[in-house]
Amino acid sequence: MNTHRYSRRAFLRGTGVSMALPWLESFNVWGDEPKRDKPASEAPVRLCVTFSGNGFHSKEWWAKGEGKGMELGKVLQPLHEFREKMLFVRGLYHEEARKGNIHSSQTGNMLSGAPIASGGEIRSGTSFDQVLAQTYGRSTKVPSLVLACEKSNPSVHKNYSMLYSSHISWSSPTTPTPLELYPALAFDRLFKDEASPADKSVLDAVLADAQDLRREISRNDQRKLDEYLDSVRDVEKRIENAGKRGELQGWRPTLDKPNIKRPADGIPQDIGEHMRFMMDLLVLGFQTDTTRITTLKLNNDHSALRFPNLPSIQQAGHGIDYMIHHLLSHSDGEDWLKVNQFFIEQLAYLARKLDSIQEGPRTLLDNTMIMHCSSMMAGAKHNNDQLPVIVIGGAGGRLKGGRTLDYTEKTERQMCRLFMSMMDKMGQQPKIFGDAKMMLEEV
Amino acid sequence: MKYVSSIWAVASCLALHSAARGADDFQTSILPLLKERCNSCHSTKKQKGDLDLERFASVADIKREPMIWEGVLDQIHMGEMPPKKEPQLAAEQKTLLTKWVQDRLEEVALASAGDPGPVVLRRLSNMEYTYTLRDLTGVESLDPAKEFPVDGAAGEGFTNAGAALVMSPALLSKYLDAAKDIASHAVLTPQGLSFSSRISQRDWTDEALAKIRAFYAQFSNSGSGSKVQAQGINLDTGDSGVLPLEPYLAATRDDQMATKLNAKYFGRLRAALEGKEPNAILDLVRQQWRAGATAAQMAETIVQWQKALWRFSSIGHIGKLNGPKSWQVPVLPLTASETLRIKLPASGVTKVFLVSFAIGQASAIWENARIVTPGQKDRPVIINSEEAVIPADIGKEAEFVITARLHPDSQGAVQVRVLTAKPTGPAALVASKVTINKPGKKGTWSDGEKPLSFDAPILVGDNSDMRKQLTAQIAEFRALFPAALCYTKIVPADEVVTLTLFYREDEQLKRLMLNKDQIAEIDRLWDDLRFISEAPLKEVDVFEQLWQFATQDADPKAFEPLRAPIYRDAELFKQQQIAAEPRHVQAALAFAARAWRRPLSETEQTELHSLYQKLRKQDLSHAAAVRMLVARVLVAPEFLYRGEKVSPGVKPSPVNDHELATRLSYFLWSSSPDAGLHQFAIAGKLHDPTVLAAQARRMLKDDKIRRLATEFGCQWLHVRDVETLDEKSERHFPTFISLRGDMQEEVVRFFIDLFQNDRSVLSLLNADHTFVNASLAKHYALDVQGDGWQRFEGIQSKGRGGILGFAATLAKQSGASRTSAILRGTWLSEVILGDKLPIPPKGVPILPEEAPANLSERQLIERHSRDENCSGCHRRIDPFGFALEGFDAIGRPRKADTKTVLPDGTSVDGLSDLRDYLVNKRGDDFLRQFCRKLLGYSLGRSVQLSDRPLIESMVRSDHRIGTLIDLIVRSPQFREMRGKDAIAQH
Repeated sequence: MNTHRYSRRAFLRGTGVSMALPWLESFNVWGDEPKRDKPASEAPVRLCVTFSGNGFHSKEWWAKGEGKGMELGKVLQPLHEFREKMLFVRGLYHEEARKGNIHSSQTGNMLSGAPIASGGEIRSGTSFDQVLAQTYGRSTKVPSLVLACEKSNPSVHKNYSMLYSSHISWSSPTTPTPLELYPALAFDRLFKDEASPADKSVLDAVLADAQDLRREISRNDQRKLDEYLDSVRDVEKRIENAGKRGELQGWRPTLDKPNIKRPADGIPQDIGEHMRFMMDLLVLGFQTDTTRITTLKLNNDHSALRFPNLPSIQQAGHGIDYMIHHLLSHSDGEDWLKVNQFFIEQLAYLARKLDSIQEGPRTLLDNTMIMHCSSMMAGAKHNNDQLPVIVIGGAGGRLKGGRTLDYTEKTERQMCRLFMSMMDKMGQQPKIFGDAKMMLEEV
Repeated sequence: MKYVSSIWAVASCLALHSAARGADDFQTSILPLLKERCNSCHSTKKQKGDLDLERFASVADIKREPMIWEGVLDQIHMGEMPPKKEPQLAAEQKTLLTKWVQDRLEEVALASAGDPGPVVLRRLSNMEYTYTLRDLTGVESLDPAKEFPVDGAAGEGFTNAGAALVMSPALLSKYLDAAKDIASHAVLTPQGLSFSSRISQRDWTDEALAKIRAFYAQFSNSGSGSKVQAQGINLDTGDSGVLPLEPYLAATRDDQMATKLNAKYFGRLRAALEGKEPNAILDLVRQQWRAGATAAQMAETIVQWQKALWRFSSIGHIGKLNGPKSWQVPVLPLTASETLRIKLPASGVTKVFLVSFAIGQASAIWENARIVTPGQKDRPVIINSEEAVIPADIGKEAEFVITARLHPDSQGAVQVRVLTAKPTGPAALVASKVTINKPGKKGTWSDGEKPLSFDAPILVGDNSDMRKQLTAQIAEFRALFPAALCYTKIVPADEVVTLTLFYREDEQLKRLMLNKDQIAEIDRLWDDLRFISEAPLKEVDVFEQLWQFATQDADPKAFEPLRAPIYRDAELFKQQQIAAEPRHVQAALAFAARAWRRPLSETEQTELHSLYQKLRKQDLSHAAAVRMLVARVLVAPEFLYRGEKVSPGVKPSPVNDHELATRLSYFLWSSSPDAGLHQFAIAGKLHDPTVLAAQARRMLKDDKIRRLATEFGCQWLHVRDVETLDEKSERHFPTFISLRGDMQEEVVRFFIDLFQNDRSVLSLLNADHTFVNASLAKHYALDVQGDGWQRFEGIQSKGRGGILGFAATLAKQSGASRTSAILRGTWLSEVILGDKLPIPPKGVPILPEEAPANLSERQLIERHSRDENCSGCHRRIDPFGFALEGFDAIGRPRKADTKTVLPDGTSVDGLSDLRDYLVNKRGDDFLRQFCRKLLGYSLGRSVQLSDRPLIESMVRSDHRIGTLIDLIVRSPQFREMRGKDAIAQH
């Protein structure tokens, strides 16, 4: 059985025809082993992309200065303790996200910079976390973990599917990666072993079915069915690889197996608790080297979350329950700022947790890149000519924190350049990604 | 490059005449206009907004990409183009251009009419998956997709469009887990597979038991049953499965009643009552019947005799050494002699009476009368004629004991009794009380049967003719009036130890009441129970344990007679199990054909068989392997996807009958075809549009149409998730959470009514009825009786009616704590009327943080919308919302300013004016939008230009939902698919 045929096709689809060639040149995707260029005894670099929708307070997302002296706007205050491990980047944007509708067309391509299809079609671009998952991520049991704390919205809005507003991670241009909302099931995805030979036989059988079916259906349908074929192969591979882990010789993850119990079934009532549960799990995934790439959508763009447990400033004595996140963003008031800070506090929780785990000479945070972003600068304006983005963590010593970079005045200020830089930290050097042709040298 | 309907567009050029005229105009007037007003920005070089209009050099070019020109038209109509800062088109220029483009699009639409369009392969949506599994298994409680990621929407905004139904390794694992979970509900029966809501053998056994009990309950009454104590344990004993005497007796005098009863038994009873053959006991009942006694009186007599002529033994003793043979045992109170005993109180009884009743020529000899007192010597008593005098000082616990025997000269029989009171009334045969004697020595629980005694035995000569006669008469009575028809407890617990797990005794029921089919059914139910519970195998274990147990404090030998039958039965059962294995595999294959919505190919059958073999080799038990086979069927792409075989070439071709059945069934029921639809597909008749449309009509009446109400109706109105909506401030609206389910239910019921009663779609706007329960009625300030759901007529007079007044829609299009005329207006405009609104600009001015105290919600919005950048659109949106300000953010009625001027200048005040406006002035727009959505939902794709003729024919119809669905299912787009080479060229 030719196991490469499908991953290759998946890859081709994943990058889009126009980008395929440069990728082929730069990527070692045909071999079983991902390209490695670092000493084997070092801890691997991990990527954690986090997202919150509807932007931030129009005046309080900023950072100035360097190192210890870095000053932060009110939104970012909760990250004060990590300012020396944080990179603040100003002025990046996605050209494609400036076209089309507000919200959906700004978010569905957050991590790819791809054009977005309207008119009832679903088409964006493979996001950079998934490109990494399909290459770098292959060496762990779970190539990537895609989590969310708000369920997606099943409707079409202004001719754009609301899938766009709730999916930043895309496994292929037509496949928004399904989101896991349940902490218990995310735990299972990481740690449950699916090693039964009977499962394997069943998967072999349905794979054969799919290949038969593929011959009889239209080309268009074949492309859709390939999602299924690729998924079956992936699960089969996971069964084969069950028990295998950490192919880095000489380096061992700090944990062999999970040190927390499987979370309770269901979704935690409190949104903050939900977010922290998901963060605990992704940290555990890193710590056990079960996965190296996670994407956590804290809420949707167009989010309907409310915050009854967060004391309101504007309506003293009450929680911020009177408006959903999306509409609150339009108000740009003190409560909106407070909600922004709440999200960044959760981010600080994640950073703190990662920073408390020692991996040899460095902490897990030092070996990680947490990139937090949103699809617009201020919800009140829906403006995305500059996108809010920060990167926390050291990428295994390759990323220097305590800096602010400003591209506002530059001409080549594609957000995708940042993604290219980050992929580079993980040993992937595509010549082109999205609308970018080069990395950000400064990063 | 996007999907294009280029093949059809090219074909459209055949419309030569008009095309030629269009071509002339294009060169002379259109192209110059485009060059002047559009192409400076939308040039091949600049491509502003990714739009290049310069490359369209001919009519053919334009017709090849109609979608782009539909977009151009929209932009012009919305006033977005040319941009406001640029010189605008003169009115006649605008008309010229839009008319011309419109005409060309019309030509394309006509030429390509009926194009099946590009339909992306559809995975079952979460709801379709759930409904399908419920229908396949018959288990309504299954909710396998509960924790699946939410499906996205595409096409016309529904979750049944392929593009938004994705797959991933994580999701595939979930499907595998769910499939295995469903398979764990599969119950292996002797004949095949069935599905249960439960997943343990114990529960399945209980279900099988319940089925048998339900069967028995159709014929018998549950007896009162009595509790007895044995060695400190409460045990059930006594009667169950009792013959319901009274109704049958009453029915002998009322023909109407007879029709509701079992005819077989009723006929037999009637014949017996009318019979002339003498019968010492039955004659007692016949006399009553003829004398006009009530059914209750007759039943009382019968019951007394049932008690005299039957007794119940412990199931726990059946089969033991000296044990009974059955639960219900006949009793024959005939004897040549009997010792009678009666207990005497310490004082008060001075005489006892010796009573005898002769049948034929017979008499009794009384002898050996005595007083027996524990610890004392027996004292003889003198008999004086038919009396005996009791001494005064008999003490406590004394008994009068006497022996009666048949006089040797007797030809007949004589019933004898000892009474403490002198009998009154005419002498007659009475029913004897039967007593089970206590053993002389202390027994153990392993002991067998004990002897019986009677208080009114019938003395008769041992080998006499009279004895034969009486025996036969008693048997006849018993045959007509068994004490029980069947043992309905089934699980015996009437002894400390009972070896039998399930006890069957229903010969009387079968004999008296059941016909051939019913006998076959109850036999099958018992076979199921035995098979599902594996009782024969378990009884071996139970027997071995009992053996060990009995050696401790009882005599194990008592159980020895049970050993061989138990082991033999277990052996037979194992053979039965093995013999059933191929049937289970076959049943899994039959399940696959249903799940995959078509007959299986030879290859598929072989493959499924070999997977079963493979799994067995992997050391899976038969049951586990069969369940894994079921799981494999459910995780297969044939189940999860609605694949359709494509034909070669460019031309569209009809899908086959099975695919068509699937299309229809998922359209109307969100699930796989039922047996009826399947039959038509098998017979190859479904492709006949008349047959297909008739099926659609049938399906619309079915309860499963609720799914169309939810999946289409609620999704279209954007209220599909109101029942779980968590967007309202509990502080402002504490009642919302408890009402949200009812709000959605109102919408669902409204649509069900629309579908099942073939109403006009316009009733969505102008209905004068709705559906409410008590809580929703209270919410609406309506006066209704009762708690349940009911139809409410005259809702218009209460200020509602149709979708505009649903709490669900009003609440959904509101904020967390206040209404939003913008949301409601946008919804009405875009969702309900299908208006195209420009995309809101980025960088809109910020709303005031807080509504100043003196501003209403409406005034707040008016202030916002006054902004120059916004007013253009808001003038078109907000008035619709203002007209609905008479409802708060969860849809309650309230006082508010509802006067407004609609975009076309019509003044309205409140919901009823708005409704009239919509029906009278925008009726066609509403219908067009509804049809567009319904068509898009039915096809699983966006509606395109080539669908326009179909939609127009729907708009011109009588607007009844049945008609619209009829038009859809008969259309080529519903029945055909594009050829393999016709599709997308990227």
